[in-house]
Amino acid sequence: MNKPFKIAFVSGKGGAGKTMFACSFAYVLKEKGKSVLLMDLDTEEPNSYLFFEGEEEKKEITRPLPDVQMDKCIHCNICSDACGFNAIAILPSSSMVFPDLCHSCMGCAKLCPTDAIAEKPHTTGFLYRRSAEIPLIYGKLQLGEASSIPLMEEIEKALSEYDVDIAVIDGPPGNACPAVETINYADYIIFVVDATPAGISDIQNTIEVAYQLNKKGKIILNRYEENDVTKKFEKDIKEKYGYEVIYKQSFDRKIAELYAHKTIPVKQKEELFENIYKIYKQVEENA
Amino acid sequence: MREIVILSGKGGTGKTTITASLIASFIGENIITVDADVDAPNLHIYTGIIKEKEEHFSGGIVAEIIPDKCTGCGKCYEFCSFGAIFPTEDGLYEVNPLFCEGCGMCPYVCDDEAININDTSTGKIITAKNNFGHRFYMAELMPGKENTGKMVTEIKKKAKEENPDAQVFIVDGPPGIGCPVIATLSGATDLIIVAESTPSGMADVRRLVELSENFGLKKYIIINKTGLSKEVDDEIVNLANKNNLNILTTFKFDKRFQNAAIRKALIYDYMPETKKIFDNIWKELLKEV
Repeated sequence: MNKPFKIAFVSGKGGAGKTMFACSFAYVLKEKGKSVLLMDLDTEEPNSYLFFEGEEEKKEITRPLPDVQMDKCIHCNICSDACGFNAIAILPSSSMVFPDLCHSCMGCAKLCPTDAIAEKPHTTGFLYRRSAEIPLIYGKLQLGEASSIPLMEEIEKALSEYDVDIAVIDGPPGNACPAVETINYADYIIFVVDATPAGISDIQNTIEVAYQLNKKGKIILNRYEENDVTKKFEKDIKEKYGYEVIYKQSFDRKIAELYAHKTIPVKQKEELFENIYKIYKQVEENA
Repeated sequence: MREIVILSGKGGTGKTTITASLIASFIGENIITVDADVDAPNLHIYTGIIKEKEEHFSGGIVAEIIPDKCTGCGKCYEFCSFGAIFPTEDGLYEVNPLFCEGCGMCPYVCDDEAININDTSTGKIITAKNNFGHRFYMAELMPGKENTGKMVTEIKKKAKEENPDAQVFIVDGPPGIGCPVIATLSGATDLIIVAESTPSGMADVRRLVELSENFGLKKYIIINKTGLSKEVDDEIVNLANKNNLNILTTFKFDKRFQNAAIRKALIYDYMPETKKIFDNIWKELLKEV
């Protein structure tokens, strides 16, 4: 196994139970003596930090925007012609850069024949390192920022400062860029599925992405009820992609209550604690 | 014209199931329904749809290396800021479209004209009618594609252009606070936040309220899953009052919501006592029109 071994909890649909399972998983591993860290890669709406109190450090994260030095610009317009995001425009005596459109690739600077494009920093969010019973790193995307990828990459970089064996990742919902980034970054994927027709519909694309990226993984069915839809899902996914359902959690008001009191449910539910440890043992064997 | 968008910050708060019952409770047919959660659309599961039209949507561009022209010089590989170009076993290079963000710049560094820039099919826009006879717009995104915000803008634009006389547009939005949420808020007149009465739900509502500040919206909140923690229930009401969010209703944490979702049922069909609540929400929403 790579070190640290990165296990990501992802879901497609929001509210499937990613945070609950990721926090529980990290806590159980710590209790079992593993060296573990929790990473929250949902920078739009991070929630893991709510369950682990502790001192924290906050760091501003910037991404580069092009800054055209007009004294060097020869108005060749290569930058504005080449930019696929239409994020830069050269005017007769000035330039315009649109932060919402710019992906900060700085390709324009690399293409500029006169090296007239410098970088200027633009705040994209904040990185937090929290010392709690489990070390936690997470980010908060600056409101109004369109892309969370630059901030996610900083959280990923911060992991190298920690000497841990396992990094548990609480992932973002959906199947667009942030979810793809998370799946690609992780070594192992736990799909947390809300066991409703909606949850099952939303996980299809997530599974497709993980499969395309050759990721190993297992499935948790949350708020499970045995019916034709859940049975068919379990069978179809195994046949088509080889991903197996590893655990089924039935609807439990107590879990919701503990969660609403900022308590990781495994702290008070012994059976759940043991079940989650069993999930880890299976992941360890499978990885 | 009213454009009512429904958002939640956090996923799984009950946003879509509540929206479906709200749509079904609307009196009359002059309402246009839009599912702007292009990443994980679910509204149609509860309102039912009959598809009328499917159109491909290209929200961006993607690079493609032509193997016959590629000489394997590696300039594009070194240039690519997104790590989307990979060496092949034949000593050439190829683009992985999952990672290509579509900056369109690699052809500029290729000396062999071996890179094409193609329009990428980001997904499909579907026009339909729901089971209540309302016009319904939704999208299906291809896995792992960029430009979800553009796609949201596109379906909203289409819905408005094709229905200039509609009285009410109701838009079921995506979770989070990023690009597709900003695109959902843009142009709206009213925001209904469906909040979950948990610490996570509240943290996410705070960020959503802050994000929506400058959009000039009338704001409402529906508080779902109350009764788990008295402290959080009180706190979320305070949050609503402080931010001038008109509380439309509250729903207790109730397993029947989950049961309804499992059966693709409308909440008010499964919990008939809630029908009146949805009727009253419309009275409140439309009282000034």
